[in-house]
Amino acid sequence: MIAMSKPQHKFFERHLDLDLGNFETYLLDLKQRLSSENVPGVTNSDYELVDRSSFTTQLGEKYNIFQFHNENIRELYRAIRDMVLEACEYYGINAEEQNYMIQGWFNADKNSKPEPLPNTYLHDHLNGQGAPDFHGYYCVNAEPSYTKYMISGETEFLNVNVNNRAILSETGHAHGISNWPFEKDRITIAYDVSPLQNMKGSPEQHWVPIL
Amino acid sequence: MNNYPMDIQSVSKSTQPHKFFERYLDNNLSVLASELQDRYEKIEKAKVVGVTPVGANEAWKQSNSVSTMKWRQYNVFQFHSTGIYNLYKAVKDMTVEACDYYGVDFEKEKFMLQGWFNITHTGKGKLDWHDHGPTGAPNFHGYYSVSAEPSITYYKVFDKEIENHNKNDRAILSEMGHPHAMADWDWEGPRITVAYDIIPLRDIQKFGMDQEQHWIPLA
Repeated sequence: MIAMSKPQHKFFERHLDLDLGNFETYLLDLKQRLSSENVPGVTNSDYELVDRSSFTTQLGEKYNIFQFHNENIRELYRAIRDMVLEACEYYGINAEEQNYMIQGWFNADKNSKPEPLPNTYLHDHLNGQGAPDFHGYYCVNAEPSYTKYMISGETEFLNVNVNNRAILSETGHAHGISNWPFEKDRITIAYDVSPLQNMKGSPEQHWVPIL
Repeated sequence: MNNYPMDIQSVSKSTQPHKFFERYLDNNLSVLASELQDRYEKIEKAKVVGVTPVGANEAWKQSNSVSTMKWRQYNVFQFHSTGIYNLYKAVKDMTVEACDYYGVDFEKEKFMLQGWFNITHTGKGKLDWHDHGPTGAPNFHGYYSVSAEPSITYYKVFDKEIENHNKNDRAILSEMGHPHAMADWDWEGPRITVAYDIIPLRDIQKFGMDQEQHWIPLA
């Protein structure tokens, strides 16, 4: 019997056609609302407890971006679903049986990082267990920048960010964003996708189905 | 949900004859009933994220079901339950079929979904005549019976009154705009159903139902 080896890492991507100016305005307004107790489930005391320089990210456990009522977000949700189906096919996973759930948040901040980006700035999601868990992000305003990936902990890959593009990758490949020295906020939407059976221990009323 | 007097009639303007869409699931109903009863206790104790303690003036108090009274404060499809996920799939499937029937483009509508569950007991409350949302298709409502046999749900469909004989493990879907009401539940044990509303994203805002962090996408 020949053991089947796991397929090599692959990025899945979709180029969307969303109105980025409109989307940016919406998300900056949402950023303001998150800081002023104007989003259900996010209180002032939540806001007081997090790092102000990246609070839309830090508060991501308190909201799910896919539960806001915005046409652009909805289009992104559909693109992610499409990528998840493609990724499942690639990894030989029966998507229908996974009962996938998704959580999403947005990053709207400025940051200063050393160049080149040291590996100590990298992070992963969902304990980095790999497929069938996936993570990705969509760029609203992230040009010019890159996201550094350490594929399988060994191979460095610089993902050059493209606005209006969503990507998806299995987890297990640590990554981190490059320096952003610009005046305007760098804005991205990030998401984790994981089977329902992996939800044990995570809080209910946060993740939403995606199939 | 909107409460109506008994003489209210259908408000749907649909030209298509009314149709119930249905799916029979294959859920483990005792497991699902147990999960929902567990969540009921948590809602009662305000231990579900976003749910506040039961007050004196809750909407739908006549149901005597706290999971009904608190329907706006949680979404049943965000509980981590395989049975509920199976229902989510069935609701999507029925909505696609209903869109086809009413000549609606499912993808373009960008549907959103809210769901809750009802647990009632003999002589301790029920839901009288009510409707969900102000219009017919492409706005839909339905329910799934976990433990509701034998019982009837009355519907006023245009000029007719219809008796829907409930079947456990069956989900149904109808366009909104047709008031309905629970008949009596005369049996031992709880009557458990899961109910859901499906509305296009644009209508959530138009009809003032735009409570964020509550509805979920149905795509």
